[in-house]
Amino acid sequence: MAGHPPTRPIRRLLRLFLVVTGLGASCLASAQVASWEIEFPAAANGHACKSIAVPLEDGSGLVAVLLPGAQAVQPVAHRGGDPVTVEVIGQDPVSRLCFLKSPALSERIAWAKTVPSALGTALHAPGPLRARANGWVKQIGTKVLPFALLRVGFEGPVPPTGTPLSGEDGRVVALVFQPATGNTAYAIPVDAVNRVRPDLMRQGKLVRGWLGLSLRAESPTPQVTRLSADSPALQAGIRANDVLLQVGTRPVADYADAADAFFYLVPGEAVRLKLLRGADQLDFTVNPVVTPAGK
Amino acid sequence: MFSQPQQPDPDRELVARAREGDTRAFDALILKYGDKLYGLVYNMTSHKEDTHDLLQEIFSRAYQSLGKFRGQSSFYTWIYQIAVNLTLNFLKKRKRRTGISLQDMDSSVQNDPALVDTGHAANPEQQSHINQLQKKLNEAMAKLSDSHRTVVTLFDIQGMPHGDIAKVLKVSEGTVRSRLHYAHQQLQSFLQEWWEQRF
Amino acid sequence: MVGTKILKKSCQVGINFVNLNHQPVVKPSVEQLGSLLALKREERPEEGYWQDFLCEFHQRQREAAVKRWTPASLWNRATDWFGDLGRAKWAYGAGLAYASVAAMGLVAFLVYPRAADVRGTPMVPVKHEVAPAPVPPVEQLDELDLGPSTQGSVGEQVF
Repeated sequence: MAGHPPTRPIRRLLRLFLVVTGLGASCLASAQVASWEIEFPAAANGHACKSIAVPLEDGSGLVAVLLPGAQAVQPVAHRGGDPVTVEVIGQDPVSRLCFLKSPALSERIAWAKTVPSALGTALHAPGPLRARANGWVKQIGTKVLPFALLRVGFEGPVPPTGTPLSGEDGRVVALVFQPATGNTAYAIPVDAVNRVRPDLMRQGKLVRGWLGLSLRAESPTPQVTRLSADSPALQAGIRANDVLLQVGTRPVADYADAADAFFYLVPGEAVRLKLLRGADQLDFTVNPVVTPAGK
Repeated sequence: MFSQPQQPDPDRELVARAREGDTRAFDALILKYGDKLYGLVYNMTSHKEDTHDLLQEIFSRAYQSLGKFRGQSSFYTWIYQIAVNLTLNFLKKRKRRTGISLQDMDSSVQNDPALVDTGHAANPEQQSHINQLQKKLNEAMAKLSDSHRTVVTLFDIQGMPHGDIAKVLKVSEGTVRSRLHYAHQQLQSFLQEWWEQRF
Repeated sequence: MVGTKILKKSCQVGINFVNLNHQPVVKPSVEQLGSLLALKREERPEEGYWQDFLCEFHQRQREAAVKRWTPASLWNRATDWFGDLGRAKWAYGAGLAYASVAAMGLVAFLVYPRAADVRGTPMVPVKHEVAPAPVPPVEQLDELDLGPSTQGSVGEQVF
């Protein structure tokens, strides 16, 4: 028709742009997307396990939790109830994280860099279900975990393994690992996911960082007992009987703290260690290497 | 809980699997209800070691009797009844203890989120008061006779109505009410000295 | 939070009666007592309790399975078997009675000490020592496996 204002198509485009970016932001900001469910078959003498899978922020894949007893071989996947094809990129036996990719993946979820330091803050699971981070669990009974898990209390029944837990800003801060007692569960913190993801996406396996210093698990203080020959810790000047105080940004009060902090070492990424030698507080910068064979 | 209308048992599948010999299914039931039953038994016995032994017995009895569980109530109601009955039998046989075992100061209660006000996270003095509160209450509960501690546990802590308590204990509702009244008076007296000094 | 509600409520003093010096005697009111007791709903064992509990539970079930072959359970099975025999049970019963008497005689001869043996047995005092149970060693798990039977490595760990 004659006389249409020339800006109308622009307004339509603008509206469309706003809707799309708004949708995109809300998709990124919240975990309320079509649910991905993965079923991993049983390993020998094990049990099959089901996990929710969560899309990664860059859209390159999804992450699920592979409980002990199951294996990441030809998993069966559903998206919103419909069967879809997935392929395993890699799985890490230490963190029980399994990364997958799928041609049907179009969602992206915003992930936090780290768990908020103020414990007791509110979390959310899809449902919506409210929860609260109660504390860190580094050790259960006499068994020290390879890295600390979050203990989360829910206002209802514990959601399934792999369920993403988001902070107030909608970013994923943890994945449900398995129920603890009552309405509480252990959750894998986003820090561990962020540590494992690059290695698994690039190389299909986790490559641990190694310093070559020894600690005794049963000792009440995290005191270095021995340095391995030609190790980064020895070369940096650390000595036996030095007491660990801090690894990177993580304070270390006991052996379990140290085990947790050392999980996050990356080969080639220098880390600052604070140690106590006698009455002197010393700082060392150490370059972890790939764990030597046989160590 | 005994008076609630019948609803589908959320544990039906786990119970069925456990009955067929799936030990992991029964483990899941233990983890699901363990804390609640721990609270029930501990508050009735006021003794940690006894609580542990009783819980082993309760879950063992439930596991052995799964074949007899007909699903007329929920699994939780059923095992709750086993727990109350076994604990009551135990209390009848047990000699009255004169003190609280050293392990009874449960540090996990101090870390419970219900007791941690994050708005006052920097106030250790307040946290210390809450810990004192728990300790004094534990001591007061331990001083009650078994029958009085039982009614306080079932009514005040577990939230069971008078009628249900009467059925469980096989006494009249009047007896339950009078035991509760007496137990409350006892607890008020036991806490009086500390109450005057608090804060 | 319940804890802080208690603290706030406790500022409202519950005065029940006066003592002989005509000073108010302060006790928690029944309402305050109820709130205090409600806190105990959150009673929980320590971290890791249930993992150890499950270990012990499984162990007990294994022991209970072995004990099912007890004299009591064997007797029940035997009486069921006899009941199914019909008339032949009388012949079996007589034979069993004869064999039982002979066996008891043999056992009595072998087990009960003769006078000479009793006199000659030296008295050894029984030593009562209460030794504390050994503390289980701390283990480092290499993988995230919270199963009750999971084992890690003990002693020195190299990082």
